[in-house]
This record gives sequence, C-alpha cells and structure tokens, in this order.
Amino acid sequence: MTAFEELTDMIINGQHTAASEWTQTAIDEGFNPIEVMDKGMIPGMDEIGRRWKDGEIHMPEVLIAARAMKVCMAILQPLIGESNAIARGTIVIGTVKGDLHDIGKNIVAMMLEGAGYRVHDLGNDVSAEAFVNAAEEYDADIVGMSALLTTTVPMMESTIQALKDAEIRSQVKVMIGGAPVSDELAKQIGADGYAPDGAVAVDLTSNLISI
Amino acid sequence: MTMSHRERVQKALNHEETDRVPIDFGGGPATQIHPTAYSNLLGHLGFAEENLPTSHRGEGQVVAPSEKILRHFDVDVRGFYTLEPDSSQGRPIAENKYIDEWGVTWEKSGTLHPYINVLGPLQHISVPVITDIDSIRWPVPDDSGRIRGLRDRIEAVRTQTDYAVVLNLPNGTFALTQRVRGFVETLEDLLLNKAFIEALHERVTDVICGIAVLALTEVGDLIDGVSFGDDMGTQSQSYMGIDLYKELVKPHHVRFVDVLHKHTDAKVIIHSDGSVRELLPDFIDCGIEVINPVQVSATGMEPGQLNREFGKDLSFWGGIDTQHVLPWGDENDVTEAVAGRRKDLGKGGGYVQASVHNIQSEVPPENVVAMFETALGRR
Repeated sequence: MTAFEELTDMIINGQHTAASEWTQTAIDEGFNPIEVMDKGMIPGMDEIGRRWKDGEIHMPEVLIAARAMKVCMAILQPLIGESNAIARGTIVIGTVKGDLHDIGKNIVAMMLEGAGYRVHDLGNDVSAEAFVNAAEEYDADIVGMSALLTTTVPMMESTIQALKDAEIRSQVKVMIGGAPVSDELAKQIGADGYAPDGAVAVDLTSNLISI
Repeated sequence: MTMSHRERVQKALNHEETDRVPIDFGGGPATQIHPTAYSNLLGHLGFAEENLPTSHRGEGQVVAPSEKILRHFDVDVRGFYTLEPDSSQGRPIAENKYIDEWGVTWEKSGTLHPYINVLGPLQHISVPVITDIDSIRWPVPDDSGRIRGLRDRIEAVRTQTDYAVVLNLPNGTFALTQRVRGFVETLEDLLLNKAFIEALHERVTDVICGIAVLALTEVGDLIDGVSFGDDMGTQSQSYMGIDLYKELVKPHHVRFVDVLHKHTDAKVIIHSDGSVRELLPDFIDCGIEVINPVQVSATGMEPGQLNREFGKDLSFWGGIDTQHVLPWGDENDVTEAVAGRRKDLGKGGGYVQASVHNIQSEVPPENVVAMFETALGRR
C-alpha cells in the first residue's frame, strides 16, 4: 500500500480521527497538500461513490466517509488557497424557496466537495434571486437545485427563468434533484440534467462541466 | 350481498378477496389532504367550503376530510390518534415554529408548506455519551391526557356505523431517535457511537411502549388496525444496510410490535416510506402484518413483485403514487394507476387503497375524484 492509499482507506472506512491525524502529519512532513487531496482523498470519495451507486453501502457509510473527507479538507484548504486550488469546477447548490428539506442536498454537496469541486451551499428556502446572485458572485459552472415537495418544484422553473433574465443562463449548467423530480421534468423545464442521488450528481457534474 | 365497510377491510387484511378494494382517505397521518387541494375538491364537487382546522401533526399542513366527503366517496376506514398529553412540553415558539413533546423543533416556510423537524434536543452534542440521555426532558408515557375521550369517540363509530377503525400511534423507534438526535447524526452514530445509539433507541422504545400500553388497554378491543410510523427508506435504498438494521433497530421493532400484539387483536400496520423491500422479511419476522404506504415509485417497490414475494405474509395499504401520477398525471393516468394496483397489489386479496402520502396542494381535484371513482367502479 502506498502512503496515500493509507489515507484513502481511512476515508473509505470513515475513520475521521485517524484520517485527520494522517493528514496533519503528512503536512508537517512536507507533503504537498494538493497531492494529499488528489491522491489520498479524492480516490476515497470516488470509491465511496462507486460503492453507493452499486448499492454496496448505504447512507451511514457514505456520511462517515464524507465526514472524514471534510475534516481533512479543513486542514488542507487553507494551505491550498484560492490561487493554487485545483477546483474541478464551482457549484452553487440549494433547496428551492418554500422547501426546508436539505438532507439530500447536503449529501450531494458533501460528495461534490469530496470529488474536488468548490461548493457554495446556499442552504434551504433559497429564492431564484439568491441563486442568480450566487451564480454571478462565485462565477459558478453549475447551479444545483433540490426540492422534496411537489409543491415547490415550480420554483426550479422560476430560477431557470431568473437566470435567463439575468442573461447568465448560457454561462451555467443547471442540475436538479429531489424525490418528486425526474429526467423528464428536467427536460420539460429546461434544466441540463437530473441526478437521483449524490453519487450520480458527481458523475453528472463532471459531464456537464466538460461539455 | 354487499359487505360492510368493516368486513371489507378485515377481509382485505386477512388476505381475502373482497367485493371491491377497500378505501382509506384520511384514516392515517399520511393519507390526508392539503387544505388547498381539499378546498379545490369541494369546489369541484359543488360542495360548500368547510373551513376545517388544519393539523400539522408533526408534518402535514393537512386536513382530515369531513364525514360528508368520506361518505361521498364511500371510504371504509376511520382513523383515530392519541392526543397531546397534559404533561407535554410542546408549545409554539415563533410564527411557523414550535417544539413538540419530545423537545424537537419543527419549522415551516410560509403557510402553505409542511413543517419539518429542524433540531433535536440531543443534536448539538458532537460525541454524546449515555448519561446525556437523562439530561433532556422525556415524554410521560402513561399521561392519561393522551387517551382522554378516545374510547367514547371510537365506541360511537363502532355502535353507530360499520366503518373499520385504525388507531394511529405515534412514531416508531428510529423515527423518534433521529428527530431527537438529528437525522445525519443518528446515521453516523450507528457506526461511530453504537453504545450511545443503542441506549437512546432503548429509551425511546421504553416511551413508545408505555404509550402503546396506555392506548391499547383503553381501546385495543375496539379497533381493526393499529399503526405506527417508522420511515426506513430513501427513494433508492433503505436508510441502512440489513445487518445494521438487524443489529440496532430490529430488536426494538420486535419489542414494540410484541407489546402491540399483547394488547390488541388488531392488525399491526407499519408506515414506512421509501425503498424498504430489503427490510420486508425482517418486518414480517417482527410480527408486522401490513405495510403502508408501498411507495411504488421507489426502487424495488414494484407492486406486482412485492405481492408475489410477500403477499401471503403482508397486506398492502396505499399504492397510489403521489410523486408523479397524482400531481402531474391526468385523470386517465390516475384511473390506470388505481386499476393497476387493484390488479397487482389486490390479487389474492390483501390490499387497501390509499394515496402513498398526503395529497399535496397542486393535485387537481379531477385526479382526486378519479382515484376514488375508479376504486368504486364508477368509472
């Protein structure tokens, strides 16, 4: 096992204390923080995503892996800094106005961070205007919207319209998710894609950004 | 000869075919209707506005349909609930925000939308220990306020009507634990803090068993079904793997269901949303007899397959899709769904029709009407 594979294993097994200590030691010994992230952490979350998609693991395993990833990122992020960040892309994500459900959206945000994307989580009950402002402020590649209520799904269409009105629709890709949403609905409202869960969201993000 | 409503439900729960599929509307916390959809329904039928009280019942923004509507659609079931106890710490804390008797904070965004639980009393502790469980205020199980007038109300239905009766108990072990501790926190604790979550599950089960004994001692002889809610599935899989369920949750389901069976002959119904197919053999093993809501759009919940695999041990209560068909489909889609469930879930008996969850505000009244009229053979 290479040195980085030790960290990957700790991430996969959700050993956040051990992963955090390994990361700090690595930094103290002069390891490149970007390498630690790229070779140690991201493979861990990639493997978690694969296992989750294949139904081999469930939410508890995904969540503790994401937590392990998060504590390591807290050590690395200040060292990587804005100029050196190998951000694969920038995403603004939130639950639409009127909807307070956020667990699914939070898991998607965690998986995307674990995959090396810069994620700005706007929280829940997010207005169309707030999505547009954030997309502009953070120069987002992707706007991700979540809704759990059939009642709040129309807010997704409103947000897409708001992006058009602000003349930035062509600069971002729109990704939607949530139990009452579907591929068909995504096409209907003019979104660029739909993801049923966090693992698929990571794949979709990669595809959308590379278009 | 036409069956009585009660007979129809009892037969269905005994896996016997009936003259028509029995119907539930408003008999449980997840088979009700949003006030806007209800008002639209009344208008569509040419009935006067009713201004019924909305209940949030921990989730809803729902109304329970009136007797007039229930009789119009020949609904077979009447549901009852235990009440807020006198000793409850539940109280409003702001507009659109309240605390319940478990100390859980609920909030909603605006008047049209449902409440969701946003904070539990043990959620803020990053690594809780067993003694933290005693630091919060626990509900008093045997508070008689919970059953005040309950027997009289159910007896009235029993003696004056022929409807089937379901008692809806509060939620099950996992549902309450995750509200008290936080959803993400609980799922993590299952792997990272087992001793604590075991003890918390135990304490929660102590309380719900006490409530069940109180309620069923009072009315257990009068009811046809007793229901509790414990969501165990997401859209695509169960909350946890089967091994974790067997280790950390199943023992509490076994204990609770055992208490139910000891205090009533009524059928035991679990309300468990989502993709729960992989847990069904263990639910059956716990002594659960009816699965609600049968979220047909979730992975692994194909109704025909479920009936073939589990239909001899489980009855099915629900089945009419609320994520796509009812809100976005047209009347034909709804008619097809009802006829489809009658055929696949109803084959061999063992099916009570209901919407998979509460009918939301945007569901057209035509679709609500189609759901019932198809079931009644009126179209």
